[in-house]
Amino acid sequence: MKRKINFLLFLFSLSMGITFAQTRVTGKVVDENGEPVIGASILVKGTTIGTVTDIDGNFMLTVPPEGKTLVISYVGMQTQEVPVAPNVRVVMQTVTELLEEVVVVGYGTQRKEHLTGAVSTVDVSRTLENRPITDVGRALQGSTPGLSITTTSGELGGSPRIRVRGEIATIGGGTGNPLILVDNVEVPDLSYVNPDDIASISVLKDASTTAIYGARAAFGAILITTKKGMKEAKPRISYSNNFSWSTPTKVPEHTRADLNLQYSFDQINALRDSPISETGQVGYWYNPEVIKKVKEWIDTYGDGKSLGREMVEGRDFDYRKSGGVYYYRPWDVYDIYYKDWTPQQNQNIRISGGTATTQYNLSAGFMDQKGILKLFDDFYRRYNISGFISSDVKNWITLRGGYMYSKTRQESPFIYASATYDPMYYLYRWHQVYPYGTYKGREFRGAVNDLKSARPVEDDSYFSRYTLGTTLRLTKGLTVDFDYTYSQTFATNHTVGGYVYGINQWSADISRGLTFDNLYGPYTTATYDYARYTSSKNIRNAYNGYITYDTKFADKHSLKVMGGTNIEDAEYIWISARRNGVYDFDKGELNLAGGDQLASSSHSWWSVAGFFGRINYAFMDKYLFELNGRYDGSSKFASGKRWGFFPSFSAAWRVTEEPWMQSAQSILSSLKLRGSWGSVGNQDVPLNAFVSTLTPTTPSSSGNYWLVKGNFVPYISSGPTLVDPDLTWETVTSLDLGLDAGFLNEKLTFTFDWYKRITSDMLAPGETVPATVGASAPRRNFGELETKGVEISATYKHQFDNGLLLTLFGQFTDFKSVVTKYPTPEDPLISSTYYQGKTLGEIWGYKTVGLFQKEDFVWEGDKIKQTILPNGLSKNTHVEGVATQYILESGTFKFSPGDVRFKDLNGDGEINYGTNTVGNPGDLTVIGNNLPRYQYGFQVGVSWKGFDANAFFQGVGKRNIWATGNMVLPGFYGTEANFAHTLDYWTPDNTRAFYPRPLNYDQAAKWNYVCNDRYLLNVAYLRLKSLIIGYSLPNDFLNKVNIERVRVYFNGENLFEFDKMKGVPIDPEMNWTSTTQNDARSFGRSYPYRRTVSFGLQVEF
Amino acid sequence: MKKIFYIPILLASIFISFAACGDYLDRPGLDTFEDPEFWTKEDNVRLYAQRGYTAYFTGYGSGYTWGKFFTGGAWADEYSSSAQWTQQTATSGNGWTFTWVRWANILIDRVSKMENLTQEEKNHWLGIGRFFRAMEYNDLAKLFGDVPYFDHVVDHKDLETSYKKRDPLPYVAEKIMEDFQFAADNVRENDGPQQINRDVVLGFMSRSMLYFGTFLKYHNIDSEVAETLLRKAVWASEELMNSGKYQIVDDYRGIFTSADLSGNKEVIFYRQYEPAKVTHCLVSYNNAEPQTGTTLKVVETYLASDGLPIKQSPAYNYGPEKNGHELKYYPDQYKNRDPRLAASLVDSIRLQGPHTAYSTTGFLCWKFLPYDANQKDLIYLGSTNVTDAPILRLGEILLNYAEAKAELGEFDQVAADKSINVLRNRSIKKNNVGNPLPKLPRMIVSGNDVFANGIKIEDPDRDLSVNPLLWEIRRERAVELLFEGFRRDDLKRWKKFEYLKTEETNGIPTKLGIGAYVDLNRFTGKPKQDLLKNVHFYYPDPNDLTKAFVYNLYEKNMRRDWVPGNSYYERQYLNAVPLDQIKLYQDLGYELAQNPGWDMPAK
Repeated sequence: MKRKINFLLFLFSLSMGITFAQTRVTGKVVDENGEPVIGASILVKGTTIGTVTDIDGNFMLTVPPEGKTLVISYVGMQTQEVPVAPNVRVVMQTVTELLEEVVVVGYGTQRKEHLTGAVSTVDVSRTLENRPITDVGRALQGSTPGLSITTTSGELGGSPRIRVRGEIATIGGGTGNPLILVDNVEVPDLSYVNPDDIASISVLKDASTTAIYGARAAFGAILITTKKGMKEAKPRISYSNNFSWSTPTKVPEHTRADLNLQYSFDQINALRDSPISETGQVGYWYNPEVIKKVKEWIDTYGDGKSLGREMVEGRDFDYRKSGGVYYYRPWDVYDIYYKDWTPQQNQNIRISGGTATTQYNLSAGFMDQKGILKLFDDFYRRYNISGFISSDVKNWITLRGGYMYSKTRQESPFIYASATYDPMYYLYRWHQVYPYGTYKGREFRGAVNDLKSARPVEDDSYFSRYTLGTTLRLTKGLTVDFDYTYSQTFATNHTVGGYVYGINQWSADISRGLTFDNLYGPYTTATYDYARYTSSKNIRNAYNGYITYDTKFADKHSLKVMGGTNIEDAEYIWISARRNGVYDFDKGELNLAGGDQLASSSHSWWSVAGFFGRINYAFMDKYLFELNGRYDGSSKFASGKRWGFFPSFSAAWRVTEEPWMQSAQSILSSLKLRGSWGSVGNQDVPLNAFVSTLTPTTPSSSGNYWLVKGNFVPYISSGPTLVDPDLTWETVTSLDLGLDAGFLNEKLTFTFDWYKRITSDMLAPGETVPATVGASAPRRNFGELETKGVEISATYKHQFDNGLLLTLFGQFTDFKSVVTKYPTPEDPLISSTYYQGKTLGEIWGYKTVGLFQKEDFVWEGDKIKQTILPNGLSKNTHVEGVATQYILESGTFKFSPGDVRFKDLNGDGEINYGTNTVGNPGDLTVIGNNLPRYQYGFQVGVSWKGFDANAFFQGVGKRNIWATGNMVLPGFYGTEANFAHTLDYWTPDNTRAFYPRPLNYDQAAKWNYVCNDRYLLNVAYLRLKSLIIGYSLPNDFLNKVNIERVRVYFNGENLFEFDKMKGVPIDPEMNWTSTTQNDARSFGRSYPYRRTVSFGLQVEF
Repeated sequence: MKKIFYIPILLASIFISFAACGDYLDRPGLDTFEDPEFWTKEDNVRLYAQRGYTAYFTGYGSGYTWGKFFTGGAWADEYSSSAQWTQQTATSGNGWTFTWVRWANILIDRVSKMENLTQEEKNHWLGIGRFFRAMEYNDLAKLFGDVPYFDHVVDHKDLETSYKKRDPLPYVAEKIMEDFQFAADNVRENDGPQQINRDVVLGFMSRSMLYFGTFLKYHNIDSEVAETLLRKAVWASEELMNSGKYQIVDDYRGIFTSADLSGNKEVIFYRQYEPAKVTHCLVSYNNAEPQTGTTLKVVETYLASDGLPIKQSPAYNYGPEKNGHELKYYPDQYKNRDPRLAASLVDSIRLQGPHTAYSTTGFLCWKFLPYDANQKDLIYLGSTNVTDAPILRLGEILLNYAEAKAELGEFDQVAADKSINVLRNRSIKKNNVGNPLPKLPRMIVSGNDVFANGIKIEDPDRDLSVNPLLWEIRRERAVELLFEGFRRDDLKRWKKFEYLKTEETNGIPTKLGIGAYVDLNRFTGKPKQDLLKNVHFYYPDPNDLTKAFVYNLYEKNMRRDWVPGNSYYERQYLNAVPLDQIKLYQDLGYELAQNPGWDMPAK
């Protein structure tokens, strides 16, 4: 690869060097896809000599000796200047490309070179097109400096977590979400927006750019504009599609069935003085004899797929006399659960165009993503329709209107348990001998049968939005804009439970008089005998009005003044209705059920109002100044604490505009130094945080309630809360220093930003009050969080003489957040969620020095010498020089050969945790951080003669997760299955193993699994996020069939990655999810990430 | 000015007036109540108070969360779990929380300020508020002894109050008494089904007054207050006993296994369970699952059918002891006993290896297992059990009465006939079928001596510091209230945690350290192999490997010793005040005393 680049650079330097004064120039003008531009005008600069290109984009021109430069222009494309040469090839950029030079900012646009704040724009065509993406958020991952996008599993639907500058922006209870605006109005969920409708994306990162939005954009803003059509463009129909197939990136595989059982058996027996002879759970039992038979079964029948699913007594299982069953037959549970390849399709059609006074755009899209489950048809589907029309009714007034509609449906299986115990949990829970087959055609109790029997949980959402607006051009440079947007989101969920029928082989009575034949019946309880609808309605009104005055005077001064108002209100209603006792589960409707009725609702509203203004002043286009301010009001605070003023200021100096820099122009074509400072309020605090409330509870299903005559009794479940009526905004102050530079006539551009953001007056716990008060002191505006970071991005574009266009892009982001002020005791516990001085995300644990070996202990014959402790208990005795870890022991466990040896950091001969405080942590230290550091992305794009290719890599340089559960810590729960990669465990014959001796930790991160650096996951990664290879059919062929453009392409997503998971087969992007974090066992038991291959077609008429 | 300028001015002024208009930003909460406005009517007060029910009347708990009944692992009812005495001084929490004190004080405070309640309503709800405050201080004082007492809502800015010192236990106990008395005088006789009424107040008052009366007495804190409280215990118990509303029922096990307790004459207050609404898991633990079994100690506590302790009883015919252990092996241990033994413990032995639903000691509880339970219906399995839980029953009240009377030195034959002899008059059938088992003879009292069947009871196992009468009353309590969550508190107030030691100083297990006495010859073949593989045994006669006790505390680290006077052990009577709270006081120059034997924060 490197050699190739060197070669290209060589070619490139040759072409630069050869410049002769010639009189005859031949050339070709093409667009960025390599298609000829017909009728482009070529003019010799400073003369009237010129010509136009022919049907192949070729031209020929005689240039007088004084002619040094050619000017090439074409409607809708950026005018270019090239030096005169005998052979010229010019690549024109279309206006959409050109548009990127104009950056969308709050209530207006700005020329890129005039920007003074920290704004990044997303290359929409490269980031969003041609990819089988389901939502914009996921596509943006790695695309933009300062933007972090994370997902914690491969679950269908939903939106990823989006953050601008720092993972955690506030610890005061707010979300830290950036404000996401589509055409200047917030959307409730980015996944409602069809990626194909997007024309531009700007990410506003510092206070100087977000202050205009006031208190809702405290943590950055993402401005999205949609496609609007173009004036004086003939109607154009474009169609694109994408068909993709995906497969899990990584799947933790169970180890071979007999080894798996043996491993569990060893774990369970490890700490017993006299081992138990057999063990079992949920009806399956095993002992050494059973394990032997499992091995024999595998040797005899292999994967057993030729045997069908029917289980045969004697061959596949035997009853255990005193209850339970011995199963010998292992099942390939992944094959039962997962499809190998899961399809998805996206289709989009668009009509756009315009006359001299009117422009329009209509589009429709469809996306259908299937789930990976084999036994249940889960899917996520979305339909989008949008339209926009704008017309200059008079020369002074433009009217516009638009709508956006999105409908989504997701179906997922009903779970006969709480959400944590979903199908993925059970895929990884039991050993492979769990009866996944049938007996006399009947299914057994278990996740497979649950999945097959489950009725779909149907989630529908309907988002629609209508905009009416006008622009008034009052006089030259003075315009007024008004827009009103109404949006509503309506969502429903329909859930129908039921009973699952199967053989209840869990029964304790099995084989004690009962067999599989007797145990067929419903094995779920009346808990799931219900039908439920929930529905929610979210209404929003947004009124935006602003006036802009743009002028230039004395030729040197340009001034732009803007002022306006923004008013928004929202109301949210959620209703849930449930009825038990469904007559027919295939008709799970409330009116077709006869049991108890349970209903509840929630209802809230809020409003904001703001007045804002901005002044831009530029002197000689060299010294740029911008002043922003917003006076903002929010209903979230008590009257009197409601309004705040948030100013910001930024300035830039375009160094290369200085005369003394002209000499450097040929190399350094542009250089701008920027600086900004500003403060913004954050109103993202819980609703009515200043009012003492009492909240009643309404039972919705079984739980810890008091019954009267068999009926639930509602009660006030919390409150009256202790609140601070003086609560007000959190304030976010940011300082940003940056530079933009361009080299070699902007072939290479470079942007750098350093920033410091302080979130102050952060909602923090009140002063610590003694327990005697009976409540925590109310939260107050007290805490302070400081985030510092850098962002770098660079782009390189070059077209070679042979027409090969090369584009390189890279970006790098890093930040670190520290709590600088927080109610903190003198010496805080390291377990405190926050304390003053804490670096967010830090993980405290022990360092390790490998595993204990026999020689680390003092032996008395074949037993380790015991030392009696003062409390009468005993411990193993170490040889001189080995630190004792006794304090980490409990129950009958004693650190022995094969256990983890921790590092005695303070050298006191004893591993301990001091007082568990930051000041006295004993041997504990910070061993990692669970927030990502050094996030980066880079793209390599080439296009040549109709072919194009783009590879997009994305990565995280440093990140750790302390995960628990059998996938990462074998034996964490000894009764559950083990995984292939954990077989490298310590035994007297395998002393150099990675994992410790087999033990059952009973779901607690204790003993060898107290947080330590040996088993800390390093989830840094670099992955090929997307690879696109396309081919556009030649125009001369297409012209015959009246088609403007046809392009076919192949795409691969997540094709490969480099990571440091040390063989743990969990995707490095996977993390604890909202459901897995409820159970310490379930890290990795989530919907898998996927690799995807797809192809698609783009046609324009 | 051009006309078109009017358009933006008009629009802008509409916008501005919209936003500037004060109430556009006024969005009070829609779906929550706000504090002062909430307190308008009696229904709302009830809504508030209802929260206390599941907190104080846990019954059998809910889902997989247990109530106080049959708490397998904790040190109650002479359980032989591997739980150790608490070894570390708690750094936080540990029960030192006043959330519910605040909650009750808010109820009292707001109700007292309500103007639109009648006097009767006001008194009733003040009574409920004070009842709950008494309940909470009852719990706090049980855990910690001295606690700061607050009779009003504590303002967090009022440091003098919130950093108050601990009030002495006698003071707190009298405050608890006053609250109970106020509640007893003002709470309605009937406030609807499953709602607190005067009888509920009296029941808890009887329990609480007995607790603190005896605690203050046996821990040598204040004999005067102790007597006052014991008299209150007698009064509250008598109010219930004399009301005529409740009576002892024959079907003892039925009290704990009924799907509907509404008609049960013995039950004063109970918690309802319904399928798919509120369910529990206690039946399942009695039904099909391995149990942490109770010990030989409990089995030996039951009297023989002739009303005499087993070592004295001809009917039981206790065998010779070897190495401190008698040789009557299972199942003879169950023959000729107090009929409540058959109603409480399974009539056969079940051990790990041969049995799935085994007990770690061989002795299994079925007191909470419905007679018709099976292992198929879901109401008997998992966490979907639906038997109702008795919260207060007359049986306990009679025992509270008997004990309080005895502590006051007033327990005579009349008192015995009103209490213990009523309990012994139950006609209990094993599994509720067939003929009733023989009743225990009446307890005959003469001074501090007790007679049964004309024989003076002289239990060789009696703790000599306890007189024979009290010994028998306490035995009656241990037996009648087995697994109902009382035993630990009882030992605490009698200052008798030493009973919980599981081994003698010479290493020989006490009767808490071992389970059923098994004749190993009764097992053969694979069951015997399984048994020997899975169960640890203690052989009283090392030369006879056919007879053995189940020895579930075989690991040294599982055992529990007790050395009287040693603060390491003696401190177990009261919880440690958490170190973070003591530190908090210290940092501001206040003082919060630690309970004896526990650590103070490091300087």
